Amino acid sequence: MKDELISLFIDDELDLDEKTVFVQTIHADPVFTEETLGLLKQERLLTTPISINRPMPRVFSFKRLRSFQFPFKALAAGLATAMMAMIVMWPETKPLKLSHRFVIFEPGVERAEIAGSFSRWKPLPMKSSGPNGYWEVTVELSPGEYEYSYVLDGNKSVADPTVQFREEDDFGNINSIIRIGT
Amino acid sequence: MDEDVEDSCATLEQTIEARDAFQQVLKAMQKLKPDDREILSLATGDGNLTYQQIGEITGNSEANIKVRIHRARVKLRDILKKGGA
Repeated sequence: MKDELISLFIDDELDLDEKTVFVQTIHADPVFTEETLGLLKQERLLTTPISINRPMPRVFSFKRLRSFQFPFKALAAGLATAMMAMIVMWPETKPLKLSHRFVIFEPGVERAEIAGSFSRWKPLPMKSSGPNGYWEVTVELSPGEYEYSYVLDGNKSVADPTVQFREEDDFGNINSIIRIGT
Repeated sequence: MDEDVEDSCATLEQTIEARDAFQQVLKAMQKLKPDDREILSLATGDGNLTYQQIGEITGNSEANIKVRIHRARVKLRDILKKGGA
């Protein structure tokens, strides 16, 4: 029971009595303290926004070119090694397609679509699953990582609220990131 | 100039490390059961939902949510610890 206080603490859900018990336990139980610190560290990974933008066109700069000479070499060596490994280890069978069901709760809209890297960002229509406000679509996907967002009423782009991982695209939209089957 | 090179290398290294950590957690999250993944995402997502709101969305009691969120966190930690991400 006391262990759950850690999550209540992380999520700011402790009431006064629970705060008292939490602090007392932190002082008395080093294992509990260690557990709390470990989960806080994990939470930082979960909640830190990681923005991995695609490279934008940049103004040419000799300074920048000099600065990036070494990383480019390392990157080239890494890519060459990765390509060699891929050639040697590439499976002969075609990758399986996996069905993935996307669902969003949007009771206030008349139309919902999904657009992602799997559709080359072409919006795919979602089906309303009745009067409860849920919209869904099932997409066949090869194993891999995909970015996507929902398009509401044809003009509003929103990330998937149930998927933690997101990144901002070059246009300022927030896309969800999902990994399928790997 | 040397400082510029060092700075750019450090930045690249940090970016790669951040990307690696991101990939690890992403893979670990995918290994959670869908219910655990959903509830953890609702608790840690941008929406900053309370346990009561999460309970209303998922149709569960607040007490149930309290237990499930912590279990999901611990499962995620165990997956990351095992390096099975």
